[in-house]
Amino acid sequence: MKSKILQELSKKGREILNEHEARKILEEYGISCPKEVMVEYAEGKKASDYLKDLKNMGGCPGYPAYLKIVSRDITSKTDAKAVKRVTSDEEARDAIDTIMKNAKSYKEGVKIQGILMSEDVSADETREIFLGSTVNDQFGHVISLGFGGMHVAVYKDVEFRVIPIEEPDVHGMIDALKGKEMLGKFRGMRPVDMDLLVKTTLKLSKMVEENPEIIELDVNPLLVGPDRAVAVDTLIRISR
Amino acid sequence: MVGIKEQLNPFFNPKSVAIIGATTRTGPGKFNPIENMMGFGYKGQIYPVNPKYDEVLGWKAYKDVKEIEGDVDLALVVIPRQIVPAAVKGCAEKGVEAAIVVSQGFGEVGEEGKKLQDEIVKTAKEAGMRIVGPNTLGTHNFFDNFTSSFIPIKKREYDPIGISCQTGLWFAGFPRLKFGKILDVGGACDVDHVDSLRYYTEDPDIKQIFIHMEGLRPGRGRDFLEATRKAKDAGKDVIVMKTGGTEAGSKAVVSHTGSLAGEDKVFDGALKQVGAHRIRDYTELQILSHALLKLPKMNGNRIAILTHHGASGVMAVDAAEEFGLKIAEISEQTRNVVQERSPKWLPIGNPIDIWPGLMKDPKGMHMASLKAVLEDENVDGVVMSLHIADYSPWDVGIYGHAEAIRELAPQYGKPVIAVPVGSVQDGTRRALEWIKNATVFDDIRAAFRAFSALAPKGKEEQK
Repeated sequence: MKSKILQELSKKGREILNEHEARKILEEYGISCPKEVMVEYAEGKKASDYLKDLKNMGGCPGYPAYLKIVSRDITSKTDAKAVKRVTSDEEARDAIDTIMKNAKSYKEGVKIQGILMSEDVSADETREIFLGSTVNDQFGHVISLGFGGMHVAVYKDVEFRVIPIEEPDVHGMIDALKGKEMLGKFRGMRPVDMDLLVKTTLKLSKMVEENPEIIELDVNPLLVGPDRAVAVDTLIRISR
Repeated sequence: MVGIKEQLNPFFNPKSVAIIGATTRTGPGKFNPIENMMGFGYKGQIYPVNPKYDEVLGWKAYKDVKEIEGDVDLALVVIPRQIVPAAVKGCAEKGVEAAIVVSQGFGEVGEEGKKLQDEIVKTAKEAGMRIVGPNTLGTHNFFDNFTSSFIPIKKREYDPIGISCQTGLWFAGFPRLKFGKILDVGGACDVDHVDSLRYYTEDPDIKQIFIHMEGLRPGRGRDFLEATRKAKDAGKDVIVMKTGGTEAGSKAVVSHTGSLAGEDKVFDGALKQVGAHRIRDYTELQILSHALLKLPKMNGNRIAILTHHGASGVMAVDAAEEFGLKIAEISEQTRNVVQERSPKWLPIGNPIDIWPGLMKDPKGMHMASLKAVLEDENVDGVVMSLHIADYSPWDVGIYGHAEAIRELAPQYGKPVIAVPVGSVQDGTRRALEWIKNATVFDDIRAAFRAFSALAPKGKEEQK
């Protein structure tokens, strides 16, 4: 295990890392993540106090932003309705109450670690990409690349390769996607930075290769545009 | 341990074979491997083993493999499963280094069978012996006239194709899959697809490897990929049919990736990663096997279409789109050559409609247009959609397409695929099939599927 952060979390007995923990490992490998700040959960704390604390932290992104519940018990914040996009303080206060309530009622015994305020990096020209990794019985660690967001579950337009991979492999994966045209000049959008997408995929592959304790990984979505590639939501599971 | 070539050689070309469980019954429906071996022209020594007989088909029979005086290269085990472990042990004691276990009822049928199988594997491992099977037809080798099959097979023409499979189905062969060697790994208790892939890679008789697999042993995937890479490096094409396998999401996973990573999807990506050709059915297999064996590889993916019908030109454009190939932008030179022989009103493009031009001079038009596209730097491969009339002189004669292909195709390193239509095409087939760099397919789609296998893979290589 190469990643110091992963080692520490593993020592603490973690199996599923929350978004806030997972992003630190991605950043170690040079993958960009949105600006974000987190305030720890406290029983009975008011929404306005959470917001005040968030805004007082250094590096707090401005509006529009996403407010998200941080919980290792929730692997899909969308399914749990534990994420909301906000554009003002007023919306933010309401959102904190709503997502807190949704998270707690999502399933029995949900433990919440905190509230996250995260930069909204979706620009007009970004496409939602899906990167991931898992362990296969016959081939060991594999990496996946496809179209992300809601598309993952429906179209399953995803390609797999066996780790380690090289640059031509990533191009091969992209070429094999049915929706690859979306990455080029598409509906008034400029082409995505293909080189950045390829490099990000290679960095992620390297991360898994050097930390084989990672047995499941989703980056969904990786928002890729003409000049940026940002890992917006990451889930990591490490072997126990 | 000796190399893979030495380990598997006795399975393909043994100097002597002991048949444990030999039978004296002969004739159709008796499935006698010794009778088949002899009929197939095997020239080595045969040792029938069966305590019931003194002689089998003119060969001295033995009560036990250990009583055989000479060396035994290969043992063929054809006895009920309960006594297989003892027979394998006997082989080990005799110093036999290769055994094919034809018998069924082992790992594939449950706990008891699995226990018997484990016993065999243990004996083999300790003795440094290799086992093919259980539940297998074993091997055929047309190059050296050896077969272990109990289903009769006739001598026939063969190609430098090696097959690794896990069913006897492939032993039948197909009109355009005249394999030269085959190994059925059966239950693959020891020798598996990775072993046969490595063997064929080192075998100078073999140029193309076809593998039909339902799966590999857990953890064997990376060895398989490495072996496939080595086969490719040795200049051998690897074609894979992967069938069956568990669905994704069977394990408890928390991620989307985990739930999407079905065996088929992962295999598919892995095969692409090492440049293996994946096929899905018999038809596709024969198209690819034949094309890869017979036709030159292309430097790009741009196809010129010479057609007798506008309609089949349109079909060709559709097929090119489906298989990721480009319609070549033909050069000014090519355009001029065709224009000169065509009516002035005919716009010349690709697909190249050569019909109006050949009404005047069929042979001249075929020659000129084919030469032009073969010399055209913007063209990597050529398909010819041909109209064959229903009586034989026209098949090869008056039109002159066969002469054109015969004369021109061998001179250029580009594949030429003819797709004739007509109820009598045999003449065209016969006239074209043996010509270097050329062949015939029944369908436009088949031609383009073939081109897709001949085109370079990966972004860098594409023009």
